[in-house]
Amino acid sequence: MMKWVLFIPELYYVLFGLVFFILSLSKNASSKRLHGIAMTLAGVGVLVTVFCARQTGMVFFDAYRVDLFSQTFKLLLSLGTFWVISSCNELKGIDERQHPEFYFLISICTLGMMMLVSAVELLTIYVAIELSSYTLFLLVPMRRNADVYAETGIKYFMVGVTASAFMIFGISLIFGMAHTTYVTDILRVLPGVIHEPAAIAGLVLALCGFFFKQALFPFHSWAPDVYQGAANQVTTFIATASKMAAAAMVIRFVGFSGGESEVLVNVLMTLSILSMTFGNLVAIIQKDIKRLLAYSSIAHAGYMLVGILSMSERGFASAIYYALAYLVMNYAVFMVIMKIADDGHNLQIKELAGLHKRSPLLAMTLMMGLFGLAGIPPTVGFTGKFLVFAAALEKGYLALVVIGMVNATISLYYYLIVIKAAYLLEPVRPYPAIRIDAWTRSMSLALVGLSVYLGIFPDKFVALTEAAARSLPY
Amino acid sequence: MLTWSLGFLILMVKLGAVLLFLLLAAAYLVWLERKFLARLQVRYGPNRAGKYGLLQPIADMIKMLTKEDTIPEGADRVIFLLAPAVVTVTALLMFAVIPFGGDLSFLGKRIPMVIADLNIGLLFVFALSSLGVYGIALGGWASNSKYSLLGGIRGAAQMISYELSLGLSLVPVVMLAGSFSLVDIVRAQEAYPFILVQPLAFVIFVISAMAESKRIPFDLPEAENELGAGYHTEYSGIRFGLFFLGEYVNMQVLGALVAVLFLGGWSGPFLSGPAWFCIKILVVALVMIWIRGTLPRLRYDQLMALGWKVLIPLALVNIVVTGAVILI
Amino acid sequence: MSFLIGTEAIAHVAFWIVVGLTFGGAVIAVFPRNIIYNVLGLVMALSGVAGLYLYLGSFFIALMQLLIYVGAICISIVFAIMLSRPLHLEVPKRSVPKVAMAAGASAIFFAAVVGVIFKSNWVPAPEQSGDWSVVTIGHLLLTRYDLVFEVISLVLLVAIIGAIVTAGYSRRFSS
Repeated sequence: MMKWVLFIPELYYVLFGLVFFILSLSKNASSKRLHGIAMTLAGVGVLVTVFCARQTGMVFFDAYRVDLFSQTFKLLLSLGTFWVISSCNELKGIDERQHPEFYFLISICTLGMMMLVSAVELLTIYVAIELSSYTLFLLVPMRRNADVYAETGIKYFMVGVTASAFMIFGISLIFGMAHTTYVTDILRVLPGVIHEPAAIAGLVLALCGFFFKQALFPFHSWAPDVYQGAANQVTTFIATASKMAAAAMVIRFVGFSGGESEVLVNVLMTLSILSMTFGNLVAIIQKDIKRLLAYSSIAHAGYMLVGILSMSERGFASAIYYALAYLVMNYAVFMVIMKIADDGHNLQIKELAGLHKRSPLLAMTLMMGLFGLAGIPPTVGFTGKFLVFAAALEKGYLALVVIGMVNATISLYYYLIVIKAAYLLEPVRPYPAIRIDAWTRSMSLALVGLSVYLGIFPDKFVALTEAAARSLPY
Repeated sequence: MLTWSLGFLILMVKLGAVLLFLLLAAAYLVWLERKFLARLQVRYGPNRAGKYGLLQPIADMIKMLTKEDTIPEGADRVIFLLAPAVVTVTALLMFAVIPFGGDLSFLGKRIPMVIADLNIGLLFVFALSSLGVYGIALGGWASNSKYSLLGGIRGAAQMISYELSLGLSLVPVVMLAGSFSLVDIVRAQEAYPFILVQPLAFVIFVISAMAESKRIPFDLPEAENELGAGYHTEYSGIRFGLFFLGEYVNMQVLGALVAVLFLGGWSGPFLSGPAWFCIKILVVALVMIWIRGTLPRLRYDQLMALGWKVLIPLALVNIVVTGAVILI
Repeated sequence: MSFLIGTEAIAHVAFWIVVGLTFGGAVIAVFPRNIIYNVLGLVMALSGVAGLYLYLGSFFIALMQLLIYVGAICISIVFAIMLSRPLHLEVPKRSVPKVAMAAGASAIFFAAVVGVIFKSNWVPAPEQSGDWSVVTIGHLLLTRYDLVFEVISLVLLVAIIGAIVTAGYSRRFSS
C-alpha cells in the first residue's frame, strides 16, 4: 500500500506551486498580496516539515526513502525557502508581472530539492536534480533589464547542462557496474567493485552534477556571474537552499563507495583544496559584494567537502552541521544586502560605507554573518569548521586540515574588508536611510541569536546531525 | 529456406501491389477532386483528355516527368532536392501497417493482407507522420524564397500543433481495442464500429487529420492568394510532382486510418474486405473534397486557437471519460 | 545452416551501419557551420540511436526515440531556427585555437572513457530480460519507475512555463 502520509511535505509544495500557477493566470494580483500568500504558504510549509520530521519509511516501490537524514534536509530547505520568500516584500529586481511565476518557480525548485534528498533511485535523483535546475535556469535571467543579464542565464544554463551530461554519463557507468538504479542495491554491490576504474569514474562523474550546484572547483565558473546577474532574492536562494540540497546529495553519493576507495578520496581532496584556495584567492580582489560572496561560496563548498571526504559518520554529520551553519550565516549576509539594495541593484562594497550609522542592527547582522563565514568564534561558522576539520583529523588528513586553516585565514582578510567598509569608512556621498520593518528587525535579531547560540551550544544540533548521518542506509 | 523465399516473394508482391494501388489511386484522386470540386462550383472540370477527362492524370504525369527540374539560385541544393522525397516516402511508408482486408488463403498458407502487422502499428504511423514535417519545413527553408519560408514555417507549426490532438484523439480507440496493432483494432470492431461509441474522438481525429494534410480549411501553408503556393512555390517538374503525390497519398492514409480506426476497417456485408476498405477510403476522400468546396480558409490565429484551446482539451476530456467508463 | 550464418552476418552489418549513422550524424551535428545541417546531423545521430534500440530488440523504444527525438524535439529546433536570424548572413569564423582546445579536451575525455571501459572488469548481470514489450514497459513505468514518470511531467511543465516566460521577456521589454 502506498503510504502517502510520508509524502506530505512534497505534496504540500506541489499545492504551493499550484496556487501560484493559478494566480499567474489572473491579471490583477497585486505584488503585495502575492507576497502575503507566498509567505503564509512558506511558513506553513516549515511547520509541515517540522511535523513530518520524525517520519521514516519507503514509498514509491522503494524509490523514495523518508528518514531522519532526508527530513532534516527538508526542514532546512523549507526554512531556507521561507526566509528567502520573507525577504521578497520589495521584489523590485523582478518585473511585477512575473511575480507569480517567481513564487511558482521557487516553490517547485524547493519541491525538486526535497525530492532530491529523499530519492534513493538514480533516475529519480537525476530527474529531481533536473527539476530544481530548470527552475533555477529560469529564475536567474528573470530580472529587470533582462537584456543586460541574458548572458548570465545562458552561462548558467550551459555549465548546468554540461554538468548534467557528465552526471548522467556517470550514472550509466554506475548502472553498468551495479546493474541496478536502486541505491540500496548499489550500496550492496558497489563497494565490492569499487576498485574497478569504471566504478570510480562513474561516481566522480555522477558527482559532477552536484558539484555544479555546489559551485565546487571545476564547475564553479558560473557562480560569480550568476550571483551578480541574478536578482538579489534569487541569488540568496541559490546561495542557501540550493547549496544545501547539493551537499546532501554529495554525502549520499560519496557514501556509495563504502569508504573503501583511496582514489576517490584523493580526487575529492584535490577538488576540495583547489576549490578552497581558488575561491579565497580570487575573492580578495572583488568589488561587488555578491561576486565576493560567490567566490567565498566556492571556498565554502571546499570546506564542506573536507567533512564529506572523511567518509565517517562523524564526517557526514559535520557536513550536515556545516550546511546548516552556512544557511544561517549566508542568509544573514544576504538579508542585509537585500535590505540595503532594496531597489534590486547590485551592491558594491563601498556602498556599505557608514552602514553602522544608517542602521546599526543591519551592520551588526552583517558582521555576525561575515564572522561566521570567516569562522571566528563564538559563531556557528567556527563550530562548523571545527567539526569538519576534527572529522578530517580523525582520519589523519593533516595536510588537508592545515591547508584549510591557511585558507580560513586568507578568507578572514576579505571578510574584514567588508566589515571595515560597514563600520570604519565614511560614505563619499550621503546614502538614503534604510527602512527596516518589524519583520526584518526580528529576523536580524533571530539570526544573530541563532548563529551565536548554535555556535556556543551546538550539542543538541550535533546530536541531531549525527542521528541523521546514522539514518543513512550504510 | 523455401518458406523463407516464399515469404520474401509474398512480401515483394504485397509491396508491389500496394505501391501500384497507391500511385494509381493518388492519380485518380486528383482527377476525382478536380471533377467533384468543379461540379460543386457548377463547372465541368477536366473533360478534354479521354472520356470525362479520364486520361487527364496520365497527361499530368507525363507533363511533370518531362518538365525541367529547376533549382532556384541561392537554394541549398542538397536539402532542396531531398525535401520532396521525405514527404512522399513517409506518406508511402505509412501504408506498411494498414490492413486492406482479412487473411487470404493461398496454397494452404494464411497470408494477412497487410505488409507488416506490427503490434505497435499505430505508433509507427505517428512516427512517420511526424517525420513528414521535415519535408515541408526543409523544403520551405531550402528554397531561399520568402513565400516558401513562410509556408514552411506555417506548415511546421500547424503540423506540430495538430499532431498532438491527432494522437490524443486516438488514445480512447487504443484503450477500447487494447492494442496498437491496426489489425487488432479492426478485429475489435467486429460488433460495432468505433464511430458509434467514440463520436467525439472521430470528429477530433478528422479535423486534425485534415489539418495534418494541409487541406482547406487548413491550407495556410500553401495559401495561393497569400503565399503563391507556399513551401513548394519554387519547385517544378517531378519534384513538385513528389510533393503533390505525397499530399494525395497522405489523403489516402487518412482515409484508410479513419476507415480502420472508426469505420470498422475491411468488415462489411456482401462485398469482399478490400472492396469495403476502398469504398470507405473513397467516402472519406469525397467528404474531404466536399469540405474543401464548402468552407473558407481559417485565419492563422483561429487555426492555432482551434488546435490548442479546443481540440486538445476535448481530446483529453475524452480520454478521461473513456477511461472512467471502461473502469466502471 | 548457411542461411543462419547469413542472417547473423546481416545483423552484424546492420549494427555497424547503425553505428556509422550515429557517428556520422554526430560529426555533422558538430562540424558544419550551417546550423540547419547541424540539426539534420542530430536527426541522423538520433535515428541511429533508434536503430541501436531496434538492434537490441525493442521496437517500441526505437519508435519512441524516433517519434520523440526526431519527430518532436528536432523539428522544434528546426522551427526555432527558421524563426531566428537569416541564414544567408556570413557566419563568424571559428577561431583555430579554440577548435584545437575543444578537440584536445574531447579527445582526452574520450581516451579516458575508453581506457576506463577497457580496464574495468565488467560482470554481466545475473538475470537478463529480453522482454521489452509495451506491456512490460508500461508496468515498469507505473510501478518501479512511477515517481520518475510523474516528476518528468512536472519538469516538462516547468520547461513550458519557462519557455513562455522567457519568450515574454524580449517582447515585453523591448517594446
